[in-house]
Amino acid sequence: MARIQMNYPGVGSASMDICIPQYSMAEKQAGITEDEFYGKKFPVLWLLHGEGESCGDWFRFTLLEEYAQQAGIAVVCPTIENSFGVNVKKGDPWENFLTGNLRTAVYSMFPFSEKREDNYIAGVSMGGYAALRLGLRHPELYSAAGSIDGIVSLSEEMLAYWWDKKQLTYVFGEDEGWLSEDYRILPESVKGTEKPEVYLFCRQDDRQFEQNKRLKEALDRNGFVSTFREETSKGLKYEVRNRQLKELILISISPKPVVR
Amino acid sequence: MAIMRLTFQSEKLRASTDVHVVFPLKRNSFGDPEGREPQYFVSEKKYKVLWLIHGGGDNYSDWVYRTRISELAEAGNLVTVMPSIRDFTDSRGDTCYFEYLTEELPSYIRRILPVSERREDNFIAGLSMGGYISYRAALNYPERYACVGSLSSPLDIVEDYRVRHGNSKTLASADSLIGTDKDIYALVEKNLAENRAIPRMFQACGTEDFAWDINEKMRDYFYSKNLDLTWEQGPGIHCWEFWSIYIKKLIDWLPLDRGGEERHKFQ
Repeated sequence: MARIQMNYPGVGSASMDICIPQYSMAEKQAGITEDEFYGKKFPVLWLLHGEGESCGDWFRFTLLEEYAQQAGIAVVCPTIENSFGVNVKKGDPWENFLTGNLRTAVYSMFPFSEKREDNYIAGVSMGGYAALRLGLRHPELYSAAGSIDGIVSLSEEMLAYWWDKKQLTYVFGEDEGWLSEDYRILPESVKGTEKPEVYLFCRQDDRQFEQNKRLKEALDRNGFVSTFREETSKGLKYEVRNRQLKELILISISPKPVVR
Repeated sequence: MAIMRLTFQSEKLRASTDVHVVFPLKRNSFGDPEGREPQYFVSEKKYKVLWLIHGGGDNYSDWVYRTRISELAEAGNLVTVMPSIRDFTDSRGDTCYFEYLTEELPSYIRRILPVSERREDNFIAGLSMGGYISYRAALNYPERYACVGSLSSPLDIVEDYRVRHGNSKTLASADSLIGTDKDIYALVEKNLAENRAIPRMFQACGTEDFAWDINEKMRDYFYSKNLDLTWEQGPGIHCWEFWSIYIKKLIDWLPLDRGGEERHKFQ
């Protein structure tokens, strides 16, 4: 597998970590030629970090590269700061960037597929919120949206564990902007037949466990293909996240047989 | 520009190895603050590429950390690839750095980045030992590189090893290199005898550099064979100050698509 750590002209100079499957002995032994391996553009998972994290954290804390290599997908982890993936009211236009110019930049450099069926978006906690919201608001871009311990309901009480009013005002705007319709995760808002598949992973002791369950029910009512996986909290924090990621990549996103 | 640290598995090196890649991703700096308008100049074409090698004892990081190569490459719409090379004359038995540099690395880079395969778009250069191995590559594979360049390089490797590394326990002996695919003089003779098109050459050296005499002699040899050589000299010793200035001269000499955009004006 190959890893790329880069600084690039994004929203200001920005960081991004990428992994791309690499042709190796394992594929050779499975009877795949190098030309075959690189012959098709890679499917790509846009994988978003959580609050207080940055682009390298998925690589630091999980076996992301192993799972991606097995599934034959590339993964792009941009740093999205603490933006919730929205056009930050008093800051940068992260939603426009993530769904627009970031894709342009990445596709222009790497052999990644631009097709909807090959593009997936997912994230953890705040990144989960961003992935779900962007997946539902831009169903023409992604065939699947995944959330690990995702924030699915915005309210000051729910978010007080980490977010203070100043941060929330910065991101969502004055007068409790986070309560605006614009920021709700609403499956019913997706008109038309093109809907992403949605994968929800949630620890049983997560603050928003019930909210995640209710979101699953809303997805069911609105004709989405979706799964909801409860996770016990057995193990250390990143061990749990790693388990959830493994299932997201190897089972939810990539049902095709793995090489090894 | 995008500056990438690429880490991938190399079979020839039997190891995970790092490469710095500068990709001329250009942003319209005064673009739309709402972020809706396209903000990049992108094209479908494959990019020209400079394979740029550090000196003995350096690694993939040095060119980017110590010079303005990234900006120069961006201005020239040039992808620049900077690997780590630990063996320039196949002195080690455990790895194949020359094959890595000339076969495995370019092949892999072209799998993941839109880099041109055409001779006219491929350039190889380096400082000190990096310039030597660039010449070694370009003269062993003159059909692959249109231009080759060296800054302060001991191009007469036999003489250099004899003088500087006569007692080395790790490097090949000077005599063992004579007449081989590592011997620049022999390679030029071979290419001329076989009537092969030899890449355009750039050669620079500081007048106070310990490699000055070797460079003078090699320059005169190249001229005597009527090779397409551009020679640059100036005050300077064997140091990054010199290389950070002369890399600009080298890049200015390369046949690049500079486009119609405003060029950075350096001092």
